[in-house]
Amino acid sequence: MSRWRLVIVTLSLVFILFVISFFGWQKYPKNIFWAAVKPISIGFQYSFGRFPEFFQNLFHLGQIIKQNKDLVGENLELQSKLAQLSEIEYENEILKKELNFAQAEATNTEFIPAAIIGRTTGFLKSMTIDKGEKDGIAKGQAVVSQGFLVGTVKTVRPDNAEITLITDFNSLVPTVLQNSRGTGLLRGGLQGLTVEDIPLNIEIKAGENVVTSGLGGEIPAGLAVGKVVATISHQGEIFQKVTVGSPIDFSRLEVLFVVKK
Amino acid sequence: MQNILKITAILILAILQITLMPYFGIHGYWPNLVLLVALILVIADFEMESWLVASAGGLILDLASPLYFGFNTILLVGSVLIMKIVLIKFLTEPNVITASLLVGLGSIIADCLLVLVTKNFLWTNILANGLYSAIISVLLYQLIEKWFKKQPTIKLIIQ
Repeated sequence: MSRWRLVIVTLSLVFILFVISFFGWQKYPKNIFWAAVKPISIGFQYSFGRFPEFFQNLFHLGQIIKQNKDLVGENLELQSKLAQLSEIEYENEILKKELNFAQAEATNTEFIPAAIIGRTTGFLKSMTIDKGEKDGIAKGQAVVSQGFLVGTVKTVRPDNAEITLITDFNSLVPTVLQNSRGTGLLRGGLQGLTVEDIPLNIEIKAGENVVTSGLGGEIPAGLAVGKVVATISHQGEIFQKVTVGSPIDFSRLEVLFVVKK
Repeated sequence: MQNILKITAILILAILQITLMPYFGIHGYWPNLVLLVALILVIADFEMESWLVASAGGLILDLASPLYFGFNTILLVGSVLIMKIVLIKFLTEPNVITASLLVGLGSIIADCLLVLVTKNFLWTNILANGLYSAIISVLLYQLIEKWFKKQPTIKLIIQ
């Protein structure tokens, strides 16, 4: 086959496939492709995927010891807070009963573990996971890692799904600032994570937690996103904008959990 | 038989790009191995193989990519075409340095087109990715030159 014939055949094939891709034909070939690639990807994850972490740990041994010490302290503090919260919860239940409060519908949240099986390019903040429709995954569901929101499900296929990370420019998640109760939209992009459209009358404090608001869609309320770093809106703007710091390293994600409401 | 082997090699290359390369990324960015091989092959005068890598590799990457179908194929075939024109017009005898520079530049241009779609435009990432691609291309070029390059032969016909 001559080179020009090869190029013409390829481009014709691309054109035909591009046109019919609008009818959703891609779902099944993509599903088969990723199902075939999954074992290779998981093999690499447990071999090559471990190397960077191992060397990083070796080089930062001192830092890890300090971090461990800090975490032990933080853990003890959290345990004491948990005990106080249990007491408050008990008290709250009693008060609800006293006031004849209508029982709120119990929140039934399920976490489905999923492994990352593919990433095409670093410029595209999306990845493929090994769970799909058959496992109860649906479009728009939240994806968390280590308890923090990392993305949402974009496309679902029978055996796998594509997720868009919250660092993507096109990702929008309704959030709330936990202390000031200011609501806004979490967006990714070059500035990092930002929460936009926060009303001007809200007094924002640096360091307060940002959680999902649960408004609309499949994302439940109360999922941690990160902490407010700084307010970056300028004078004269009609809304406030803040940058958010997430403790998650988005380039080193391994196991994710899809949140099923 | 040879074509089946070539297609299998391209399939392996594309699978490595989406499964292995992310572990060699710097700050979450890694070079496009299929693009690098296609460009190196056209520079090393393996033109037919280069078109095959761009076409078949692009189709496989499109199957894996969440972008519009055909984006990767057009990007790869277009890059090979531009590289071929550059080689014919300006650089008839490339060496390892020019090959690495051309591949680095090709990677930067391809990344620029990619960020138009992904809206994730940051010069430092694009330049770093270009530099990373140029370094890998040195190794790939040497490998192809050493193992696959056919030495010129002189045929003697005795009548």
